[in-house]
Amino acid sequence: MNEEFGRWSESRWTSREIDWKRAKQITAGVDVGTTSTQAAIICDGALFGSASIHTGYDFKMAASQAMEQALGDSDMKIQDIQYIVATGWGSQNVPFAQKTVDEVHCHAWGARFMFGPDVRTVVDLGAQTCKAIRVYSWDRVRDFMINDKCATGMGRDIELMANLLEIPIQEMGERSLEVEKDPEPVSTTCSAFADTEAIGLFREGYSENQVLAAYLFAVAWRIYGMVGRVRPEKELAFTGGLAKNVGIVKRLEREMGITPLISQYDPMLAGAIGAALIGRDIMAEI
Amino acid sequence: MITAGIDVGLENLKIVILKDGEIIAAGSAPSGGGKRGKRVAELWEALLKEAKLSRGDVNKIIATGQGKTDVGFASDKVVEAVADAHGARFLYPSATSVVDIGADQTRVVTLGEGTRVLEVVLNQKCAAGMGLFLTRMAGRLDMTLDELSGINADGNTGLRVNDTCRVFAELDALGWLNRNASREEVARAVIEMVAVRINAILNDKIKPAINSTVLFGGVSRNSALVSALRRRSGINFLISDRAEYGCALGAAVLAAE
Amino acid sequence: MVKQKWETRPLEVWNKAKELRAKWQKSIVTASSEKVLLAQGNVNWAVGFPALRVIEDNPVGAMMANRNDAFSRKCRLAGEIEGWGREICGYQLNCWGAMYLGHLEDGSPFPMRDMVIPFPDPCDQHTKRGQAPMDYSPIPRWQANFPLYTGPRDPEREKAMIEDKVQCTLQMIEDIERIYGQKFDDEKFIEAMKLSRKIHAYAREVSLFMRNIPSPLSVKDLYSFYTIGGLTKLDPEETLDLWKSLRDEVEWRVKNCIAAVGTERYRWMETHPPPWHFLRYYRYMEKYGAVCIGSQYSHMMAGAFEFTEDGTWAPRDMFGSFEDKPIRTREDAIRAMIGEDARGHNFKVDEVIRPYAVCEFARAYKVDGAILPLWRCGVGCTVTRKEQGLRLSQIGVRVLHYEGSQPGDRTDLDENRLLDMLDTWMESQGLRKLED
Repeated sequence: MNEEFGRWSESRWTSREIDWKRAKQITAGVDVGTTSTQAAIICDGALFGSASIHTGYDFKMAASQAMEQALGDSDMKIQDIQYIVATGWGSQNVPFAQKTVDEVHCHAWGARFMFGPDVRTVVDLGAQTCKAIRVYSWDRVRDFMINDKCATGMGRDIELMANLLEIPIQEMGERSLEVEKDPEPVSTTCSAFADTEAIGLFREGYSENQVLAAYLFAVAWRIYGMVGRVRPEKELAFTGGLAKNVGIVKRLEREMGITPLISQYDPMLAGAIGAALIGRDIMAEI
Repeated sequence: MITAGIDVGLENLKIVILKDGEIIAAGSAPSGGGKRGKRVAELWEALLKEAKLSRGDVNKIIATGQGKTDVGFASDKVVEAVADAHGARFLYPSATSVVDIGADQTRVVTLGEGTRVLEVVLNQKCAAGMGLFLTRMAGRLDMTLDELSGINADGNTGLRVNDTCRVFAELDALGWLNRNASREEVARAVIEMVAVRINAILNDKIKPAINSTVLFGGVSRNSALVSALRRRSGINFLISDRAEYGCALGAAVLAAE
Repeated sequence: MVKQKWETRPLEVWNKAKELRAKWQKSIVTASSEKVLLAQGNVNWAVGFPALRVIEDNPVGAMMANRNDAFSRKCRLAGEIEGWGREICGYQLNCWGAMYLGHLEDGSPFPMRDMVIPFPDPCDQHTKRGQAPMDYSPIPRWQANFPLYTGPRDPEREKAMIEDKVQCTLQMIEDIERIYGQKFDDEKFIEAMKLSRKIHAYAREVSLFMRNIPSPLSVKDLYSFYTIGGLTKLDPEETLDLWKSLRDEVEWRVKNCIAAVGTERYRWMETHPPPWHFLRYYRYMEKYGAVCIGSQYSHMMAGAFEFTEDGTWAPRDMFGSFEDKPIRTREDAIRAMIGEDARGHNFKVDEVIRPYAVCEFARAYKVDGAILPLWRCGVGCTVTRKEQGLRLSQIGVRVLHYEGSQPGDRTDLDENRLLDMLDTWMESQGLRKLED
């Protein structure tokens, strides 16, 4: 199996405009997930650097590498960062962080930064878990839902599907929308059922796009079931890697009847950005 | 007489060309999902060339595997269990069972007289994807399948992962990495998980005999898994160096009958 | 054109069954406008109340799933959003989801229940069925016990169980009379029980006829009938007439060697129907010349099974058994009703606590194979299913297991995988398709 198809692109960016030496407050956040790790550096409330990489098997190394890549070829060093907050599934593997904060708050804060203060519902679509967060305002979480264990690993299963179908992961979403009508979804119970059932559809004469549609519809349906539990309201924002999958996003939009906000930032950065912002507030209190 | 068997699996295609009871060509390629019809044709052409044959030289082609209906140029189809029976008999005339472990499916076929099948046990959806799981985990641990295969699966380790479902198993494996377990330890746990799951299928209905059970399928190339499975089931599997092609071979053998 | 071994022809009595079912469906919809109380559940004695109708979430839930996947899925999602787990019985989730949405498939308002009288059954989901309507609005619930015990038959214990159920039932009827001011019509109930016995007798004969090779009916034919008797408490006479017609027609078919499947060369049984939207799998198996003669479940109108005097496994003959006492009073009728269920091997009870019933059925009905589904969302059906498979395998019956959610829920049925498994099952037994 050619695993290149499911290999989503890493990214990194460091600002050339901001003169970090003049900044009063420099904080950073590191979000270590099962499949992707992100780092974000905030200088006086502006994004200075960010990175998103594959976690691999060594979580500590992933955290360091993400941090290094966010620093980029600027001359900022890790010692110049005043406060670092770790979050995410693997947050205990960030030895250079001063504090760990839960993903829910980090995503909520990050979403506010990325999408604006009117965000009331944040839906994080990750490789391992999907979460729905409802907020009163950006610092008060009202309600929170996470997927059942039985619907775990949806993001990772999409990588597998890309490899089996030999369709690049970044093309799957768009292609799934190029169908006249959405076919019936495949199993929504478990991603392991969904992928083999989807491939079985070729036997019924389904095209690749239709198979993608049936599969992503199932993923979206599963997510919707979970999100529905928090009774989502506008404004809504999607974060996480699957937020880049337009096949999932458009179907969620359709089912929920809510158009999500768009951001100029990479949706995968929400946790890390939020962590960095929370770092600012913690520093202010110290 | 020249025949061929084409096994279109979920992950990989396998083709065997048989001439007068001898395998003269065998090859595999990724199936590629919806592209498998094309893939089969490409692999077929490549093998014909390798065997210095033209299409017309082949008397009969039988297709098997999940995607058997996508082999338009095959003259007939056969279910995998029956193909396995023929393949096992061909390689080991006194075999009594054949266990075929692939990317998606696991089968236990109990043989009767000749190529008669007495019983077939199939994995349920909930125990599917063992081969896929091993491939994914290898990638995740930054190991090749050969490296994964070289793990000492019989060393003592306290690390276990969920053995019901590959999705939970993967989650547990990542959890261990998060807690800084070594790659080798996690690999061992993963292999043990697969051995447990398959052993459960082996124990459903008719338990295969200890010294006359053949092992087919891509997963048979993973020595660590075979070792763990041998330990758990007590079965000394008969493993040919063509094991991966066992089902395709069986289809070719059937075509020659 | 495939060569037929035997003549076949469709059942004539089928249309009559369709009519009765449509009538029942209409009566449920009009219940609220007719000022009739609607009870969630299923009990035979409801027929004694002039303005009370019973309805389960099943078959409404099943029919919904069969016809309209998109609506059924929306219903299940509505249920999930309210907090129901996905592994709740699909029948329930379909039905209660529609309640949360407020309407049925066709847009008509959801018929709200006025009370809950659950069908007593060892299925855990049946017991749960009353919860949703009760959470939704304050309605009362009456419940009879359903005691089970494992181990060898104990007549003393069974006597006590029957007594308990009789007393519970008498109490429930009195409560409803008092609370709702409806007078219970003992005569009507007594007549209905007398007729019920006759229905069982006809159903029993039909069941026994299916032992014939070739089988005059396939289980698919039975599905038009097997719940009738339960459904049409409206008109027991019509129901009796229907079963008599069916019995007569099946008897004629057996005499004239008319088969359900003209190419019958393999007989198989199940323990439970497949997901209702996938009934075509019977047709698929017929391509192999394989006829499904059903299960104790689909023969349920024949009543409880047991060993007959000649040692074969058969539905109990009510007439001439200890149950055959005169029914003169309300209590007599209740005893007759309960006695029909107790003492004997109901498909559910026996599968749960004494899995040998499936083997006896297999032997009596001369089956070659058995397809036993594993339902993720139908725990009450799936418990001991693997053990049943093992026991059947031990007596030489070939077994196939496949997974799904539950008959009213399409979610987990991987159709292509199942068809592949059927092909493997048949071909590995030396049978190739007779037609494409």
